[in-house]
Amino acid sequence: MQQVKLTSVDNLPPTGYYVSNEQKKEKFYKNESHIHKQGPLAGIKVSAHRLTNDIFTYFPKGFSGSKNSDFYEYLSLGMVPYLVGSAMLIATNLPNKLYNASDAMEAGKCAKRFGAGVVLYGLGKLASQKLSRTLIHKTTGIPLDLYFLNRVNELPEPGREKGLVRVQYPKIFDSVNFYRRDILAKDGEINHGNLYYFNDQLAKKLGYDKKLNDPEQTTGDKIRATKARATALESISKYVTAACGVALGNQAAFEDLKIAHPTTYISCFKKACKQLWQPKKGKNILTKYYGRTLAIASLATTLLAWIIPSLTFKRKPDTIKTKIDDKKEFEVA
Amino acid sequence: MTSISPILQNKINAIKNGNNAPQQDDKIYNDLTRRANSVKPNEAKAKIVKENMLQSAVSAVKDTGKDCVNFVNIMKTGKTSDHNLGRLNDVGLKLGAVLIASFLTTQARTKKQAAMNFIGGAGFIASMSLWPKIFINLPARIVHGFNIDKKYISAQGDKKDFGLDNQYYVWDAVPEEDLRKAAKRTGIDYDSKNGKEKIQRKIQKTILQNRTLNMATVGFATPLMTALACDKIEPKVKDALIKHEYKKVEKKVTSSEELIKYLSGLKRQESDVRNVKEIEALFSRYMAENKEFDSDFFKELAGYLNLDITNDFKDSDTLKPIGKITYDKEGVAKVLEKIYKNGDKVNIKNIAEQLMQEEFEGAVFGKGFIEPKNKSEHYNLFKAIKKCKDKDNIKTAIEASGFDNSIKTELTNGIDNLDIKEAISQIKTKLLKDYVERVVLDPEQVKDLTARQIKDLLAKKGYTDNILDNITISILPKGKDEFKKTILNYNENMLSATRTRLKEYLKLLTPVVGECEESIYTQSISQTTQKLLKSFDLPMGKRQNPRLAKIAAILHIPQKSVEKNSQEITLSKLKESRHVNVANMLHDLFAAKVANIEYGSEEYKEFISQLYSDRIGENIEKVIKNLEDERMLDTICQNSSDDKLLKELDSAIAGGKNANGIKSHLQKFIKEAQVNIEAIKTRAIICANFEQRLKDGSLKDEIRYMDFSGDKIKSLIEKIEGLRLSEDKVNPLIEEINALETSSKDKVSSVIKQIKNLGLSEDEVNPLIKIIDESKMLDDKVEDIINQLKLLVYDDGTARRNNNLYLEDVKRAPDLIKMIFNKEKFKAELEAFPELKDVIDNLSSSQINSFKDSKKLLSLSHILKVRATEIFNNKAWKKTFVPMFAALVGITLAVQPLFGNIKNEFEDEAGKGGIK
Repeated sequence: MQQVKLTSVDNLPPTGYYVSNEQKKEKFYKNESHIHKQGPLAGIKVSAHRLTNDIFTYFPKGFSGSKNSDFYEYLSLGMVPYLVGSAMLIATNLPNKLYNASDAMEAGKCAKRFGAGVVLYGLGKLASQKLSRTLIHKTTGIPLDLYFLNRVNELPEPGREKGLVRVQYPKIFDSVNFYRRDILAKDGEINHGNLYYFNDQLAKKLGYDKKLNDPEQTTGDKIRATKARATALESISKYVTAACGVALGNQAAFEDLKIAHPTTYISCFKKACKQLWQPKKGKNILTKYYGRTLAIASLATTLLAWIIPSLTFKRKPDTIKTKIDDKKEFEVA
Repeated sequence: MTSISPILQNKINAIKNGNNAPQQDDKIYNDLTRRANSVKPNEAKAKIVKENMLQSAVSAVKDTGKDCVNFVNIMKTGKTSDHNLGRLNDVGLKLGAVLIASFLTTQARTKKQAAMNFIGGAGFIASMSLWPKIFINLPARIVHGFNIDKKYISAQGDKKDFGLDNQYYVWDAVPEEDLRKAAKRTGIDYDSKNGKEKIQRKIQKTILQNRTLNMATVGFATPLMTALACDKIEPKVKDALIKHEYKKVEKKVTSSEELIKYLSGLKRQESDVRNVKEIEALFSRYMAENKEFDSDFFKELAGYLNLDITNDFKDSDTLKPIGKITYDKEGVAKVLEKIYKNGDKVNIKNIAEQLMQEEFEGAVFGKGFIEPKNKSEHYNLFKAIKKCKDKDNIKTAIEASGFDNSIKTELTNGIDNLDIKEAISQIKTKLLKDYVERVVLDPEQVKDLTARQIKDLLAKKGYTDNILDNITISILPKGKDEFKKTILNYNENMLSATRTRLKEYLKLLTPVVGECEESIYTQSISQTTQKLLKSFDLPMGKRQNPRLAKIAAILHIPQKSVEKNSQEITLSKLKESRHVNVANMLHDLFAAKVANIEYGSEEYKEFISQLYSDRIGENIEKVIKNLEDERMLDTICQNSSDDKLLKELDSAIAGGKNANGIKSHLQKFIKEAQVNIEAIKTRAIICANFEQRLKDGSLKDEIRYMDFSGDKIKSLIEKIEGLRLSEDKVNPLIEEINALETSSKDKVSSVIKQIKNLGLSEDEVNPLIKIIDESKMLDDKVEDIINQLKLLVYDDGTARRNNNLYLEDVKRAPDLIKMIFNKEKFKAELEAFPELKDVIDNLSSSQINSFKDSKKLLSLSHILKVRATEIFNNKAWKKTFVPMFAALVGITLAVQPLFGNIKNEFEDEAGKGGIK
């Protein structure tokens, strides 16, 4: 295995001065896009970063019509209507201060159930996606939720000389066809001395004991297919789980919720789960057991969103490709 | 034309000119030379989509279908483009919305709630895209002159927004004329140096700014738009649903015969068979120990054979008609005992005894001069004997007949000691008995038949329905096993069928007269009250914040009392006051309206026609009549068995004929609803009439002399007759005084005048007038009674429930009611609406009855209070959110002209900076 040298570090001292790999890495990390250290709370940190930038940076850039406003910023702006809309939905259901005492109490109960439903909608989506992606990571080795630090060099705004350098946190596997192979390769080179480190790990999971010459040929299509299938199935399981969350929030247990005491949140949630499981008064089987159906369906679709991509990942092709096929046409999208 | 570098171009030219022949393996050069000077840049595959509103709506639906097909492709092959993958998220969103709406529908109490779940969900998703279309894209087009909502189809076949990514604009797809048009409209010279870049930059900037504006405002706007739109749609949906349900019932209830057919043809449902295991366990308990069936057994068994359907309906409103029935366990137990003890095999004598009735007799022997249809031997013999005047002739006639000897001896037996007439009648009965026992009911034939089959046999022999209907054949078998079989069979087949029929009937009843939210009954009430409240046009009024009031009181700060002390009647006052005060407020409102209108004038007619509301359901009276038809109610609880004892059991389980039975309960309920529906239409007119009579004082006169009746009238007449005046003077007076007994008492003043005009001395007149004046009421008492009348007219139900208001004058109540609902005083109203006559009669009788029964009739003040609360709450909600929405729209529209400003961005513009 050849030791590939770093090429993008400038201003090395001329001779006899040992620069450790760590220092080189630091300098690299200061200037270029790379995969940063992520813990389990990475998603929350990224969302917080996006939200603060929404209000202070992206909205002003968008309103001023700047040329540096790109697609990442537009997608980040999409969080705002989601949060504002949820709050507005709850607000339209709150009791008015001019209502009677008895009317206000009734309206308050409805508002609490509605609010619980809205909150559990978002939590349900998140939970379903997280669960299926973690399981996929364990069985296939593809971390679909992997963030990286992207440094964007902007064009100078009118009236300035230099453009700013901004930080963004997209995911590596955001795109299906153009996942960031270059950053994965760089990361493998810097941390493990192997450009194909990531693909080698995947090949091991696929069952290839010998080291392949070009693992990317085997794994490239697999990665794309996994991401496509996982996202497609998630787009259903997310919303089924969200519907289950709304159903949970609609149970009568949430009428006892006290917003000022957080301990009531958990007890109401447990009671609501039990109430959802019980059959209700009704004629058909469907109306009686709808809550149960939703809960089971949400679990089933989430697990399907894990199982199907994993199974198709492990399916071996008939022959192992070692050469490029001359006659095959490749389309550059 | 080509894009080859000059070096290569040189090489190609050299080859063409014959210098430097190509090498064999030089594939790249060969390819290049083959296609040299003819390679062009690829044509732009992207195309702008041109659609109008309708086409875009249709294609939106088609795209959703394509997404679903795409989903299947992705699962199969794992290949897709990013844009199509992102579109699947929208499909999931819609699926989630459908699931949520259907979940909430399973919990909905009324059909309107169920419908609004789906309408609200669809409206939410629609307004997510309608808000930008109406309030952002349309104004932008008007202000700037070009369309910012373009879509294009990319080279890979994806349909994308034109401005989706700010740094990737497919200008190749836009034809030049569009850019020229846009440049013309915005005042940019396209043909100048930077013209094309300028218009492109302007479009780009406008699109970006508008998309950011959309992101900022759509979160506020979507819930508001949906909520405000659904608020408008909700009453219309409710009305449409009520009408739809009513029409369904109307189709089935066109005539009572059809309804009877429908109900009696219903098959029992499996879920209606109840208590099978319990009954079997009870029987096995007693029969295993060989215990006799005692009264405890029958009571327990009666407990299992009931019509309890309280758990079958999700909402209790459907059950209100039979809500408080007490099932008569003891009566049922008695009938069960009777069945157990009286069962017997087919007893021909029993049947024969019933057949030997007068009508059957007429069928055999004819009536009077009419001869029977089947002329049997018996008839011939009877004909021969009828005219005999001598016993010996009778005997010879019997001998001459063709009967057996045993019968002959039977017939001639015992006629010696009787008269001829008695003898003939005795022979007649014996003939009839023999006929029935031998000819009609052949013992061999009849032995193993059921009751139904016996009746069919008789019908075949030509006996009419009249006769057969009067025969009840009871053939219940005897013994414990047989009894058990009968009861289990009854429970499984007949009682369950009764349950099914009863449930179906209640389902038919509810949309018409049920006390639920969605019935014609409730709708007519709410429509009338809304009309009434609208005609008063009350302001909203504010409620004092109680917390602030307390704080102000503690700190001794004078708080501006917003509404407490004002005399104005407002919606908030109506919703918060007690019933008594509401009744007084209504009195003030009506009195104010009627103050300037004269009774009987055109203005008055206009006024009361505003208060009268049209009937809601067409043919509702017919439908109600069919629903409370007596035969129809019998069909529900009677099973079609011809067994007399089982029929008794049916009626015992249904409560019998006493006041607590199902039938009487249902009839009462329907009658009440009927009266209320009629009453509510015309209630306001009666109030107007009441106010008019108060205004001109005729009511006060009536009340003043209320107690002048009975003995006092008699004594007055006696005294007048005692004066011995001439008859032509006195008789009309006496007639008038007599008429005062029953008519209204405001004619007393004219009687007093006439007495004074009789030309008598003071000593003779004064005692007469004294009799009248003794029964005159004091003024405070008159006022008191008028206040009670106000309550009666405006709030009959509730005030009566607080009985202390009527404690003193409970005895007067029927007279007071008759005074108000007196048809003679309703002349102008009856002219305009003749159907008021029946309403007044019904109302007065039901008011009197409800004094005895303490049942509730509809109280005008109560329903107006409820309606005022609804209207107030709705207005309060709108007051918060409509201004919010208006402000949002205002900001969105106001910001639009500020967008698209590309000054100072280009070199040739006057000013600094610019992109070089």
